[in-house]
Amino acid sequence: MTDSLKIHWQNAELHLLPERALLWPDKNMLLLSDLHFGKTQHFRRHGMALPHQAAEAERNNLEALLNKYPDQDVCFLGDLFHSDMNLEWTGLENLLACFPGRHFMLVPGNHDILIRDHQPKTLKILDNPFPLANIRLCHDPDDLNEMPGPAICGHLHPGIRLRGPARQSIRLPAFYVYEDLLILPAFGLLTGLHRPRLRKKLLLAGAVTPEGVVALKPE
Amino acid sequence: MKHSEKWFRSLGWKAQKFQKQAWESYQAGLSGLVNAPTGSGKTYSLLLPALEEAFENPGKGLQLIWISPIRALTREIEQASKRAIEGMGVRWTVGIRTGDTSQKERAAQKKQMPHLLITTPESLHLILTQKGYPAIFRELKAVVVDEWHELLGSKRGVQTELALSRLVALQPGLRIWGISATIGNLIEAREVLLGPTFPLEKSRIIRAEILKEVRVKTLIPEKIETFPWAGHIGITMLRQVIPLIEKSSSTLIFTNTRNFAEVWYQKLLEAAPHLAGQIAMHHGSVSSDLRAWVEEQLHTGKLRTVVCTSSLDLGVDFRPVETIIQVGSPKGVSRFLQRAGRSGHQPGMPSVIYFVPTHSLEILEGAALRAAIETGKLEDRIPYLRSFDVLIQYMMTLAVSDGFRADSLYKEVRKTFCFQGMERAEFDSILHFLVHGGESLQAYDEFHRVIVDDGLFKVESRRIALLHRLSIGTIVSDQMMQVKYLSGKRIGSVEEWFISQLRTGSVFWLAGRNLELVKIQGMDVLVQNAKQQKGAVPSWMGGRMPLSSNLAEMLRRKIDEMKQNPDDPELSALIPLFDKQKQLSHSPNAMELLIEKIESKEGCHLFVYPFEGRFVNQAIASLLAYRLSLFQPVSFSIAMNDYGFELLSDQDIPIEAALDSEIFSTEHLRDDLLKSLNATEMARRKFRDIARISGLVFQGYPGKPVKSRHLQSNSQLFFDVFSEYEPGNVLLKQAYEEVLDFELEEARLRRALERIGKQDIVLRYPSQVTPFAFPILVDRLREKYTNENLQDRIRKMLILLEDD
Repeated sequence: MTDSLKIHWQNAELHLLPERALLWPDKNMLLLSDLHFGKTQHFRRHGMALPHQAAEAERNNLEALLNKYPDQDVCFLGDLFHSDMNLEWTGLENLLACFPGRHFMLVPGNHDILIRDHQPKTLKILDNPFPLANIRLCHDPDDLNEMPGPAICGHLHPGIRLRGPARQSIRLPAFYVYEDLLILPAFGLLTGLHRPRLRKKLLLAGAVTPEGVVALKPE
Repeated sequence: MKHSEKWFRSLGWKAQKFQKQAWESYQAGLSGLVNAPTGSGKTYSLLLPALEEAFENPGKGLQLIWISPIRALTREIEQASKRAIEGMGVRWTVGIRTGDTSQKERAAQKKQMPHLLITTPESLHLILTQKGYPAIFRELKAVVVDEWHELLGSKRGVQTELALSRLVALQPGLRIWGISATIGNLIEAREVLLGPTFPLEKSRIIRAEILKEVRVKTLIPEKIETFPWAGHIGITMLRQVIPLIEKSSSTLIFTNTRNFAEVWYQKLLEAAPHLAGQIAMHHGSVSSDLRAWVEEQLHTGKLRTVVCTSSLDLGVDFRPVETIIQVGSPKGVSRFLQRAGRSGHQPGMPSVIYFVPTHSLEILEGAALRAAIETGKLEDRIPYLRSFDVLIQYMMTLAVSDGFRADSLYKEVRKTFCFQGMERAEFDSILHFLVHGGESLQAYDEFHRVIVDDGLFKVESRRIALLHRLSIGTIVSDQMMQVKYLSGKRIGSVEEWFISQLRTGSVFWLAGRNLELVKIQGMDVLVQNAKQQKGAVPSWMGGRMPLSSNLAEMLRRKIDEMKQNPDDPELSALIPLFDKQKQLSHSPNAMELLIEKIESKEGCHLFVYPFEGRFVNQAIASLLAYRLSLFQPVSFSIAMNDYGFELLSDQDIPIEAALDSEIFSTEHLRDDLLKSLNATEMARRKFRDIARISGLVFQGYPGKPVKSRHLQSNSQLFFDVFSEYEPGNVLLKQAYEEVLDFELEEARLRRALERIGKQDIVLRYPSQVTPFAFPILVDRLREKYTNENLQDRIRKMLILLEDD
């Protein structure tokens, strides 16, 4: 089994990466969603002692991904930053500044309240939804206002529960690929897992394991 | 005690021996414990000497604190004390301070405290969050902790210990008294209450010797062959229960869960419709108004029968009823006796309690209970040790009000039973946690909780102080939704997940009513009476208690007796079942441990029967799973009940090879237990409460909207992050300690394994599921153990996408 899972969807070739990101080679683009940077400091500021190594681990994950795919632009599909301004914002800006040749873009999500006052130099703010070729990029599928057409989104922190023989079960983060909607798993570590409940036809779910993305097809 | 005695005489009462002893001891300035059952006059054993003292000099401000574990009981205590205060003519005022106390009343209390304050451990801690709180306790003479046995084995007990340590520090001569029902470790109960350094010569244990004969009558199914092996709730026994109700003027039917109570109530009415109007139900999720009504109706004799749960185990002035029926295993001797004690208070007459088994093997428990009662050995309530989450909450409380100094607080809390062994390094790491938010320091950090100002630890942020006040308490429950009629009248509460399965128009049962869901409004579920008769019955989450070790021991003895000529009626009734067990597999004696290996469509099942209660069975199961996995990578599902456990795997379980290698050995026990994945899962669940109590997570509170933007989080996340980045965190360690002490019952487990080590192991390969195995198979509480690679597991999973 290879690391990433290659799919053809809505006339595009897409790679579902085990790093919980999506690679779109034709557009030279990495798509990531729900990083929730700054959550650690936000909690700590309010007296809830999340260990700050958690934030470092997230930053390292992002850095490793950027190094692994050196030529790609990056689009964040919302909830990049968890809440109000705090020190982790500087850390993120510094990190992005280390990759000067690349474009970083953000489709803002409901948590991205920060960009209203802090226009980041390294980050281009896009409309939500933002059309790219025949596909719209958005944060929350509700942002599409039920306009038809294919879209890629985040927001839901999707996970999947698998059941096997002898009553075994496990839960994993997952990509959900519907006919006209693709939901990314949350990139951030400090997020939970939820099963999306959409009235749509599921084509495939890509369960994320440390060893690779596994394609699961519904019966 | 002339005023008290005069008042007693005016009512035609006569002081009992234990009351007189308590009066004397209290007046001599001693502290201690009064051991007396509900309804025996225990309240007046400690209230009257305080009033006697107050007769001459009522004092100014708070004189006596009465701590009760339940809000509902505070009203009863208030009434009882007002009666005595008025009867004796003492110039005292009485007040209640609980979560139900109105803002207005609180403000009034802040200005002028009543002489007698009736409160709960949580509300007492809330008083400690007020600035300048020491002034409130300036004239405090004594504290009485009611129903101490209820608090003792819980974190609320720790909370009580901490509050008492503060009050004693403020008022060194303070008298502390507890009231407790009979438990196995009364002496320890006193030590926990007073603290391990309290001089014993200044304390007493006073026992009300109200011993009564208790008779256990097991209702035995007419045909054991057709009585369900498991999975039932004893409804087939209704035919024998109804005549008991009919010939009795008042009956309490105790069930183990709220769900059972609802179903029993419903089925009783179906089977005996003429009882309508004379039967009601009572459990923790029925609204307090309704519960009060039921209690009142039972007192006045208007109700004949109440189906209830442990919600009716407590109560100050609960009058005796004629008949007591226990449905399903009571799990322990003390609880069973306490319930039996509710019946037949005519002098010299024995209390009779009927035991209704809910599946066939449970019939044995009737015999085991009787034998256990004869030995007179009651269960211990195990006090919590080193509950750092409660300590952190308490330190926050002090930091919010007047602040604290590290050295003196350390000395003070070390005087409590819970923290007597706490080392200074541990205390310092908690301080560090409160001030710096973790082990490692970082140059740039915005952690903000407690600050140190010239040696004084205090909270400056008003927002953090507010969040703390809202989070005081150690009872962590799932979000409950209030069920109300459209008129606003409250019926009870159910958990959110249950309602999420229903739609408008769905019908469900609650408090014995058939209700139709009209709409959901915030945290309220609005309903109307339903016309349709079929509906869902809610079940409530909540731990299931294990069989106590006393009762488990008796159970094993009774199983052994099955080999001889049993003379208990329960045992004789079970002969056909044990014959079936023998025919399919084997019926073990006291020197044997039975293991059954069965193949089915599901995979390979291994059933093992230690008869040790569900927690210890589960611990042996996860130990076995871990040790088996050392032979080859394998995944197990684990199921258990009080009698035994099942390991289920999709591949063959190499038990034959494992039995040759000391698989039940106590060597490396703690290590192996902690390595089993189960321990992590259990610790994760324990951590949920710990994170909440210590203020690590804030989840918002129903009815108290606080702006908490982006602060909602779940404890699971914290558990994972701590495990990875701060494995030495005190709260994380506490979660594992609690698992070892309370879930895996390490001490009891060790004894069980030592016993197994001396037993012969009998391995059988039955062709079908046996009577011993069946109840476990039906039990759905499953745990997982695996050491297989994730990819391999997924490949083997039926690729099924299922709802959670």
